[in-house]
Amino acid sequence: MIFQGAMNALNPLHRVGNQIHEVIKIHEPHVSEEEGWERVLDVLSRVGIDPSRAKDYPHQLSGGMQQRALIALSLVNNPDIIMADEPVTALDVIVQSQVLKEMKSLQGQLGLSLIMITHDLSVIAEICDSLAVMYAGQIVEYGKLRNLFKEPRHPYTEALLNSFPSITGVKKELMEIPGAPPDLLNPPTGCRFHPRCMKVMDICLSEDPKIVSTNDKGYVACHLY
Amino acid sequence: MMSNDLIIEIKDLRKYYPIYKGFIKSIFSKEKTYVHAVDGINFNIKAGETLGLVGESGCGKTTAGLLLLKLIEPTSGSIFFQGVDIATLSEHEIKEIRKKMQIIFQNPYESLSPRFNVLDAIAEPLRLLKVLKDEKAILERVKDTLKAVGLPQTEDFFERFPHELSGGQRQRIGVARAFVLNPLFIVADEPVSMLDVSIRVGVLRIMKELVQQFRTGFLFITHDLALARYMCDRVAVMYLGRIVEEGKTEEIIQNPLHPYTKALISAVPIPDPDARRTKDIPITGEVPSGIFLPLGCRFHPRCIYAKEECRETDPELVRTNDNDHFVACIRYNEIMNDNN
Ligand SMILES: Nc1ncnc2c1ncn2[C@@H]1O[C@H](COP(=O)(O)OP(=O)(O)OP(=O)(O)O)[C@@H](O)[C@H]1O
Ligand code: SF4
Ligand code: SF4
Ligand SMILES: [Mg+2]
Repeated sequence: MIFQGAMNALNPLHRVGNQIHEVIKIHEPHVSEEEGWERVLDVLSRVGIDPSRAKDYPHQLSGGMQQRALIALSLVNNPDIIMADEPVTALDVIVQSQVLKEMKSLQGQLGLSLIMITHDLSVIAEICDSLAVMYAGQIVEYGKLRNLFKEPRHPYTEALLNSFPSITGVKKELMEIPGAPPDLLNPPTGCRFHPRCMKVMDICLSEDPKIVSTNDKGYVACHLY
Repeated sequence: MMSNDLIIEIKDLRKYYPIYKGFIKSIFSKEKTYVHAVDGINFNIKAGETLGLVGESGCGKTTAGLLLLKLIEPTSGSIFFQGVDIATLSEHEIKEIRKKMQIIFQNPYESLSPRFNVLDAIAEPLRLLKVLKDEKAILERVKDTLKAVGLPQTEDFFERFPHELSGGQRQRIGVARAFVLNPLFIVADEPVSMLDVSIRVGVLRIMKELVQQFRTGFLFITHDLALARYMCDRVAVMYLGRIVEEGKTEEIIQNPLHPYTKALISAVPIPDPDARRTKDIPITGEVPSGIFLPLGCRFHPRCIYAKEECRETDPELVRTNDNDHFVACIRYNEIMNDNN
């Protein structure tokens, strides 16, 4: 698991290498001290941190290096799946782009599955293969990345895409999504998106839309389908 | 352009923060050390114009914004507000001018006092600066402002406290507080970066409309170039306390001349799966500290175009062939020809 904002997830009082070594000691107690450290140094170099930095404290590393160290931390047990919660949100674009590339190439090398949790559509477009869109605690659309970006079905997916600025292509007007995300203690009846939906129908106010599959192997929860 | 259209103009503005504690002090105890947060910047903003100040974390954007409003004291340089240099004026002397400048903060959760309801939050600047004395007139002004930022003007809404409002509503109140005095100049520091993506566009549109309606000079601080593209007429790109490139937004994005701007633009993620980046970003290394600056061009340790002369010459921001496009790189002409 890679948490948002490396600054909080690494313990500031312990050396980076020791923190990674600690994970091995907890999950694989049979591994010898020496082999453990070999793996620590190996995993650091794999994420692009010089192994000589293993004895550094987190504050001695830059933001991008701290984020890489966290990726190392999550890789050291040879997991099959990594869940990354906003792994690059706190980083500057240049570092962000380097870390994303790193994650993508490690994923390819190690054959990992990656679950990327983020609000940033452009980060998703850069790195993901498929996409699940959540609204008010529910998944409202799921499918292949390209299909969702080119042909969004759920009005929320479509609205999000139209509200997101880009620096390439023709400069387009951004579309506004009216209203605000609902209070989950007291969510709207029927479709939870209905108070903000441009295509709302009578049925949407009272009935929860069922999840249906689409002809391109995706799923959508909306009364239009 | 008539000169009276100019709201604000800064000349060679600097802010150095002294460093007192820590190891640096103990090593260099003889000399004072400084963070060169803002290190000689120049730009101007006209009525109704939005200038974007973009750059990575720590490059000095917030410091520049605070300097322009004189919320911190400049180390040196000038800040002409409608032609008057306010850089050296005392707090007492700029009292009147303060009414004409406002700030919108990044965090709508922290920037509103939990003890003020909506009415008082928006009325406070009017009362504090004694712009309107009659409570009836204040109420009218508050209503007009609420309408302008797209919020309800009902009794019930007046009495709500910040914790009873959504993030977007709170930030709209922040915008209302800034515009309620009809100021000539506003600084907005990352005003939507804390907001849910689905409500950002609404807040941006309102700021854009108000800037046009009141012909406010607007400094929009952001690290997000895509957002700057939507909001700004011009952008100034900052690197380590300096402006390295400035020009019309679309021109800078389509035709960046400074190697740092080029790198920055190529690193911005694109919300289109068909436009995935394949090339590596043309930049090396990491941002140096603002304490010990590289000699010559301060970007040279990271610049893929750096030549020997870049270690010696500290490039000034100069006008290019295009009248509105400025760049601080001694090799920009060669680099431009290289690419074509
Ligand atoms: N009060 C202060 N005392 C000492 N140094 C400061 C102070 N405020 C800012 N700095 C330093 O000045 C430099 C510029 O900081 P500033 O906050 O202006 O950057 P920024 O561009 O707004 O960054 P961000 O995008 O992270 O908000 C940084 O190196 C910062 O650490
Ligand atoms: S179910 Fe109705 S309200 Fe919900 S997204 Fe579909 S059309 Fe809109
Ligand atoms: S002056 Fe030299 S080092 Fe600086 S940006 Fe231009 S080419 Fe690069
Ligand atoms: Mg800042």
